[in-house]
Amino acid sequence: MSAFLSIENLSKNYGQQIAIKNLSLEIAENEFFALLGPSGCGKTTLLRALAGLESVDAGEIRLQNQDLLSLPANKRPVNLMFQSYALFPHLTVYENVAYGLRREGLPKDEIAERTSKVLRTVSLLDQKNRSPSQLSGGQKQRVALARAIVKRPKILLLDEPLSALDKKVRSEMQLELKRLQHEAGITFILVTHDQEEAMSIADRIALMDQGEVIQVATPVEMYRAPKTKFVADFIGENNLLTGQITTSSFMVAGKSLPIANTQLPSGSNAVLVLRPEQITLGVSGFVAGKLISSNFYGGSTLLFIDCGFDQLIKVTCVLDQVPVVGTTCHLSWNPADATLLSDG
Amino acid sequence: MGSKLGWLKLPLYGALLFLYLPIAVLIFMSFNESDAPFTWTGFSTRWYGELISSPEILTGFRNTLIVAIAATIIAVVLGTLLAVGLARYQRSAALEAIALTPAIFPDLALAIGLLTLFTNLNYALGLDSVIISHALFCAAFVTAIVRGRLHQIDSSLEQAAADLGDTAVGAFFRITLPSIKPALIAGALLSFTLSLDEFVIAFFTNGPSTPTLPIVIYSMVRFGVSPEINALATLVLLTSALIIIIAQRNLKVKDQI
Repeated sequence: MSAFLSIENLSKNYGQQIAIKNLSLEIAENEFFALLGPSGCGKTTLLRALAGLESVDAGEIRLQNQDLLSLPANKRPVNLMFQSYALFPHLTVYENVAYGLRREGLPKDEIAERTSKVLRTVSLLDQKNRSPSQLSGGQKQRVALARAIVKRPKILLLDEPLSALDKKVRSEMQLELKRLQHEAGITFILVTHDQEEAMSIADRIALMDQGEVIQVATPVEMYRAPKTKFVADFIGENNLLTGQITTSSFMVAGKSLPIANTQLPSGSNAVLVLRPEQITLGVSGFVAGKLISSNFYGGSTLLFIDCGFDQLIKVTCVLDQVPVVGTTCHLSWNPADATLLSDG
Repeated sequence: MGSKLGWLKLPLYGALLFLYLPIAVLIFMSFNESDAPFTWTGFSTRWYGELISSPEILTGFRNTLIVAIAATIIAVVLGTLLAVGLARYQRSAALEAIALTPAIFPDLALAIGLLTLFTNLNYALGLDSVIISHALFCAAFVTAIVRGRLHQIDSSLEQAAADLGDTAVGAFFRITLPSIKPALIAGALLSFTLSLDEFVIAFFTNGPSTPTLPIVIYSMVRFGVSPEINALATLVLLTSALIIIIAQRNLKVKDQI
């Protein structure tokens, strides 16, 4: 049994520039999948290749065992929600949403029924005769969403759908997207550069860098067990200490830190990955340093401590235990919690 | 404060006077009762009446209208196709410059070039050769206006249409064309006014039996400026001004959306 959507050995170059490099990926039915990565990592190119708006140089895309690449964009059972929303400015909200159904040549009452139903789902039925220019950013985003899902695609592609919204509206829309995906029962593939967004919304994430998939995992897995230094650095706040493994410890800038069992050979270069919330402050510890500054985030405070490494160590601390800036802090952690990654 | 800085407005009024005095004199003298061109004897609209009864002027007016309408239609179609082609399929700055240059070509150079071309082709000069010539330089203006409009509209609109199941041709007529409609109207009105009072190119490329209105005026002026000419020029001026105002408003209103 093969996957719902399978991408095999996909490659795409723009002249000398490599956009996608021999990329393979499998996505399951009804999954909320996120393509995450820094700008220029190829995630948008991949999304546009799925939509049929971008040609590829090599590779295969199969949807339910059907070749997708041989179909032009207007024949694919896939719809894209554009980053700019791309609402037709001369058409009303209703006409925008009905556009795709009219192209299918469906009977008039079916078009009316389906369009109204989708508009009700995104709570825009009252605005159906408005022009897109009369809508707020969040409303435009919902029209774009309605226009794409009314076609009942097998896959809905979303290109940075929330990037144009302010923070408060964004978190509301994240919930809304999740609810819609659940109700509609459609596979969602979302492109974003915002790791928090991907973590909070997706079932699984593919983290991309320079045209390649670095790791595919659930948000929790990716946070807990990053496969490479790049993943550890990209996902969440992290301390990455570069050093060398000895027989029983980890040497960083002349200091010896305890480690749990590792498969990495003694003497090899490695990166110790330590989450800020895994570190505790106490009267004694593995390493000590002076508190340089603290950033208050409401529920928690992030401390920056200078332990003589090439970077300040970040430690999460609850508000009423924040030490005075300048005091010496002793840091300790459970060595089994820390991840050791090879630094090749 | 207003009175203190009032003298600063002097250059403004001076410039406006410089620009509009000749036109004001023209309109004023077109209502002169006497046929002496430089002395005012009293108000009259008799020269406007004489215009209508002159067969030469009426023929010229008819010819001009035919040329302006036909050239506008050709220019809008060609100019739009050119603009869409430049915007969507071609990233060459040189080609874009070549497409837009006829708009700023010296009329005389264009006129001589066209005349040479028609003569070499043994093409009989007449209204049709004027239409072709006018369409040529008007198309460049239409291209410039439509190109500007295409720059403003989101290029992903056509892709969105394709994504929603539309064909390329369908997307052009349903999405692209309506989005650039204000520019098409503005381009058409501009072409029409440009063709309406164009003299040099029409003079060179026209046949002897089909003079356009500017050519008729020119041949009348050779024997001195009559108040009739003033009246005619006033009408041409008002028509052009009206069309330009409509074109401007059309572009502005639609741009706010």
